[in-house]
Amino acid sequence: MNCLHIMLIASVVATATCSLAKESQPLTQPDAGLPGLTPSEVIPDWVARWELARCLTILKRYDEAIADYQILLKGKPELHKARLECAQVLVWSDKKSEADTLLEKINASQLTLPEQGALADLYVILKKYALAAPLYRTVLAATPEDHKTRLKLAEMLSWEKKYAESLTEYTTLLKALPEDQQIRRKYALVLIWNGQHEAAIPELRKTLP
Amino acid sequence: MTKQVQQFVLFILAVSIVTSVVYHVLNRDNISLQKAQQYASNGRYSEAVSLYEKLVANGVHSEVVYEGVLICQNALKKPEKARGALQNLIFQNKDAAPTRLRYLAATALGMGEQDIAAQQYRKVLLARPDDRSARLGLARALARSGLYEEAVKEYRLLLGEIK
Repeated sequence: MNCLHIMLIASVVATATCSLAKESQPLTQPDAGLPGLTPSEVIPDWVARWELARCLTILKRYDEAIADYQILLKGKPELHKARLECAQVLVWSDKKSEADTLLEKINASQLTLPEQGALADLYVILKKYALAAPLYRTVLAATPEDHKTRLKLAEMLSWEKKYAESLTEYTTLLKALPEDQQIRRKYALVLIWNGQHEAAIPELRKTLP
Repeated sequence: MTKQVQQFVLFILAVSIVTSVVYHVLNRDNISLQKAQQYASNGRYSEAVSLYEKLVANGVHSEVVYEGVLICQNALKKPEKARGALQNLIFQNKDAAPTRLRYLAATALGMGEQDIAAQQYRKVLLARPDDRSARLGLARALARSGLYEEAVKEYRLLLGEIK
């Protein structure tokens, strides 16, 4: 047997082997590389109920939304975010005393920072300033550049006649936003309420053309 | 070494070389697919998607390939191309089992393709009206599309409050 014979036989054997190999490894393997398909999961009712309550809120069907939130919270009282959302809807429905009662059981530490800010806003609407202030301060400690929250705190402090604290917040705001005329006018107003009329005059002048 | 042994060794060597060459020629597409899958699993999505697209250009229109394109284009944050791959997959699966359709629907929903998701979830529910996962998926797809009234109806069906 010479080399040519050997190469010829080798080619035939190799081709036959590869053809068989190709047939046994189909390219289209639908399951290959696909993530496992999960069976129909058990979807708890409370998940659907919560999402339903939110849809109803968006549709401004507040009474229905409140009813669903109440069913949700009866079964899952530890859902503080849902409690906050329900309280918001109650406030929008002008049911402030019910919102107040609902919020007695809320645990703010279970909420995210934006949620704590929203809770503080609710407390302000309910005139519970003492509960709102620490929440605003928590938000500002984490995000000192949150000027919106700082302004809310500054305004609330002025309504409580805590003028010195309010002016401190306004000063911080004006350092960051010196061109904001509305903030400067509010600052000037607090100076006036605090009896600092002389200090208020140049501030008001700065806001006029 | 005797002449016969020499010939035998030469024969084995020849078979090995020729087998390797012929394998690569006949199985080019399979090899490309395996390479693409390897690239994708190592996070080398650009390289993977090039190979997948070559396979499609070579006429390999299989689910595995479109699935690969979809995963890679999503990872590369190319929504238009991912949407194209998703639509191809859905076309391929138009008669597929509800479980497979539900997976595609969930993928579409995750990509923000609410309309496609809703369509697929409805197909699942035609075959399996009691599929809670599909019902919830449909409700979410409708809500995300701004169709809140319809979403409310699906949620109430899911909760058994309406039939």
